[in-house]
Amino acid sequence: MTDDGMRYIAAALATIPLFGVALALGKIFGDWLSSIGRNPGAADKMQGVGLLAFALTEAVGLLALIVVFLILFAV
Amino acid sequence: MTVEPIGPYAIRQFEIDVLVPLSLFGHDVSFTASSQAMLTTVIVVGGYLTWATRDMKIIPGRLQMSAEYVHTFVEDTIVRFGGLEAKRTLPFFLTMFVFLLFGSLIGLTPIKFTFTSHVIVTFALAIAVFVYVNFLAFKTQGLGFFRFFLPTGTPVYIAPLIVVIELVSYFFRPITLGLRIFANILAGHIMLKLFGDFCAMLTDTYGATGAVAAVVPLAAMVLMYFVEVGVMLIQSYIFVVISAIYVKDALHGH
Repeated sequence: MTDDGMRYIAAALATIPLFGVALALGKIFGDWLSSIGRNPGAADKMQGVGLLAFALTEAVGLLALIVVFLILFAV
Repeated sequence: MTVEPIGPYAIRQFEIDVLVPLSLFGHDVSFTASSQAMLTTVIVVGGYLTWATRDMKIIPGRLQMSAEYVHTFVEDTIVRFGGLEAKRTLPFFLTMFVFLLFGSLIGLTPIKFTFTSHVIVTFALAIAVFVYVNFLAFKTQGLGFFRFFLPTGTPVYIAPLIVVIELVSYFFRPITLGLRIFANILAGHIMLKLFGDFCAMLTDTYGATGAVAAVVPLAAMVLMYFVEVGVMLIQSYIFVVISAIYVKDALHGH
């Protein structure tokens, strides 16, 4: 197998963490929606924390993206 | 005709053009596209805020209202996540917020360079926050701040482990803080560039049919633009939120 082939396989493998990120995002938004459904009056207060959790989780997915770019273009 | 592979091409947008080559004591201090973008941001933000608050009225006009809204938004965020005493850090974090936000938004205009898409810039800002927070911590708590690394009620036998973990996670703070905003902006710009290149590639390769088909990625790109504006707002907000949480740690310990 050529070096480039190995590199593409490595890059593809580096996207596996996205599975966990997808689960986490689903859980965040699911719980967010259900808590708004239970207590619509507190929806405004949940917004900040919900967005915080979303952004923190999304950043993990983007770290995987950076690793992919490092493998593809930098190593 | 040969079509260039679009992967590397999408990365090439982050190359920095040197506008005015300068050298100081053997170091390269050239005025680059990045410096130009930062200067533009400072001028735009400074001009806007100065102009909006040039004669303050009790009943604000629309312009003054918009400037006040930014101020109140950051103030509310800091007070909510950092406590009332964190309010004195408002000038610093208001500056950070508008610099990051307007820098990203100005970078979203076509052709313009986005300086927040370079890890060194966001990392430098995060280090500035880190140093400032440490300064606050030692100023308010003195050497008692070191208690932060050992939460009260920790059993003695796992104390060494806890201290190491707390220390490592403490020193990773500026890295994650800088990396988060950088990764988001980088990913967004690559995505936009890929869609744009895809439109050009379709038109180049298939002529008129391709041009008609290119409407689909173009529509996706327009949608992505709106998403990007939202992402930049959220990421600047998150930067302030997390800094406020750090300030809270610095002022009150664990």
